[in-house]
Amino acid sequence: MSTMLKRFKTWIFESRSFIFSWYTKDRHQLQEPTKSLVELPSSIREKLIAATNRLADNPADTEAIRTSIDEAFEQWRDRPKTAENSIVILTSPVMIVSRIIITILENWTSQKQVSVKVLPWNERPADIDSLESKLQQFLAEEPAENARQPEVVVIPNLNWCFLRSMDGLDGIDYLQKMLLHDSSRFWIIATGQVSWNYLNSISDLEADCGRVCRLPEIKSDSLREWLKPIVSELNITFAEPRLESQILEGDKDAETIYFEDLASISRGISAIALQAFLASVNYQLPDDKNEQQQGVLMAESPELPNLPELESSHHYLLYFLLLHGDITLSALAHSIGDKESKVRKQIKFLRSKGLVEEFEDVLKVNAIYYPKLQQELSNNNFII
Amino acid sequence: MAIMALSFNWYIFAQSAGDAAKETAEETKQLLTKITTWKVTQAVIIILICYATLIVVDWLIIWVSERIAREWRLQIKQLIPISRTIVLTITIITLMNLFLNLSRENIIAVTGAVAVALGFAFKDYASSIIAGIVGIFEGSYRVGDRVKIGDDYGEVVRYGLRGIRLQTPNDNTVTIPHSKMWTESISNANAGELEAQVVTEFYFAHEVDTELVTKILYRAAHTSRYTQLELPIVVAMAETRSGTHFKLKSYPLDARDEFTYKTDLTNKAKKAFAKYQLAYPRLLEIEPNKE
Repeated sequence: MSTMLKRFKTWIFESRSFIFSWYTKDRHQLQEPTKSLVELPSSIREKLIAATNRLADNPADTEAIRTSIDEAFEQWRDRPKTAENSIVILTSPVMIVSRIIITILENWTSQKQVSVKVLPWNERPADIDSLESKLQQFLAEEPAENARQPEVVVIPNLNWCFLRSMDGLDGIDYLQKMLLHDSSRFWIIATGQVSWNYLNSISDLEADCGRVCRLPEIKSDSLREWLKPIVSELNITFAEPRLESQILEGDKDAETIYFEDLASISRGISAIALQAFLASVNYQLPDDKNEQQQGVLMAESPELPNLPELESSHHYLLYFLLLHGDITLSALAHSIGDKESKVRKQIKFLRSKGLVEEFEDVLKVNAIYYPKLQQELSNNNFII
Repeated sequence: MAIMALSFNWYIFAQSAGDAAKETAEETKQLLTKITTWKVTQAVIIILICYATLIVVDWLIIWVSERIAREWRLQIKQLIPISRTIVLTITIITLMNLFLNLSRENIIAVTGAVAVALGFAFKDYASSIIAGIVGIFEGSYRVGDRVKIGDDYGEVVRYGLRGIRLQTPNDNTVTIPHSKMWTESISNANAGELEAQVVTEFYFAHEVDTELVTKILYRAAHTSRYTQLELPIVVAMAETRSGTHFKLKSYPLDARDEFTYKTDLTNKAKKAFAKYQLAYPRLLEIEPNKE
């Protein structure tokens, strides 16, 4: 019953602009805040970005990962011959948890008396042909300290170990072989849901991996606590919720309704929630023209932006971006099998629409679009 | 005496023929209402409206089907033959009502006359129309399906009253009457589904490393952007006189991409074959002349 109610609420939130525009005759007058909000001034925008960068990983995600890893590792240590020798942390394709895993494992060597070996990559190797040999090299290295200690091998982002191309899957073949035959090591692997589905469909990777841990959906209270430092630092207030939220949520205060809406539209994924939160913050000008008085930052009801009209070629490109998580333009072109110039043109369009972000030559899908993009690709026959 | 009898018989025959003609004229008069310029104008307007409606409805259904989620495209396109049948039926009934006195007896008379006329003059046309109506319910082919009828293969892009139109891989449009349904076998590759199996064939010399070829073919299918990975991918192999024959059977995400998909698979596989220098079959091995 609660699941049905939750689905109904999600549906209402997703289609509310359509439904309630019919219900309320004068939607703009009734639902928009009375004072006009403008884009953030550059100084405040910089403060907001700085506060976001300082924000730690969501403790709820960290705790869920820590618990799963601890349980799986302890079972393996107690019964190394019979227990599963690996754990796979599955996340949304727009979320990277490598930092969280490395933070968790920082003190393991001393605490758990194990040798921890982390794959020291922070991107996919440029030479795809060398993936397998680089992995072989990494795994062949002798542990620095006591070689008799049990060893934990960490692949913080499995996406970097493969490329969907003729020569890009040898690394996965090798890892699969090692997982199956090397029970003297405990493996911690993190990857996105889309790449996991793909690798499972082509090589039944799940059969060789042990426990698979999917991150739980983050609740509204956890989101509120997580974003509290930004809200407090910048004195962000919360606008009156929309009519539909007031009807559905009863007499809750604006902030509570805001975070419940945020958890609902982001499907409990921290990366999407953070982007939706930032997109909802607006600047409210002061009442009078007193220049000394500053405006206030106000968070309006969070919303996910609509997708632009996409063609079939964009679908393939976006699917490949979700599959690989983050990828350079040349690797993307190699993987999809098109010329770089053609891919560049399409990426230019997708960037202009805000769907794709580029940071230091690495492309990835803007997290705020992921829920709608997932639906769109699923409707178009993609396994996602 | 004999002449008199013959004359009498001729007279009787002529009189009965005259009576029959009068009777037919009377029946026709009863059947037809008075044809006026206004009625003819109305008929022309009705026909024009019917034509415009068919165009608009066809366009609208195709427009909607190409914009909604791909998984619903073929289902929406199935509305085309149904909507055309409804529009045409309404138009014919309206026209008959305009020009004919549709009493019970007249309907029987008209049906009989139409049946006789169709039986002789438009036998094939009537056969196609009836086959078209049967086809709607039987579902031998639908708009969006990829079918092979006789020597023609392509996507059904239009389901008309008399026949279907196929768009061939060469971008030609072939019109095939529905009546072919009675006599020809119809091979339907996707039968209303979005995916249709694509078979890509490769030939190698007998001594080729079959395991390596099989691995390359699977990998080509697994990495092509068009592959529907939820459906089975199979590599089949057979020995022939000239070499070893491999078939890669897989499904694209959208049957429309059939030929692009096949090209992509061939391209990927051939690059890998070249990398491993796999031997192709030698059709003619002529011994060098030793003399």
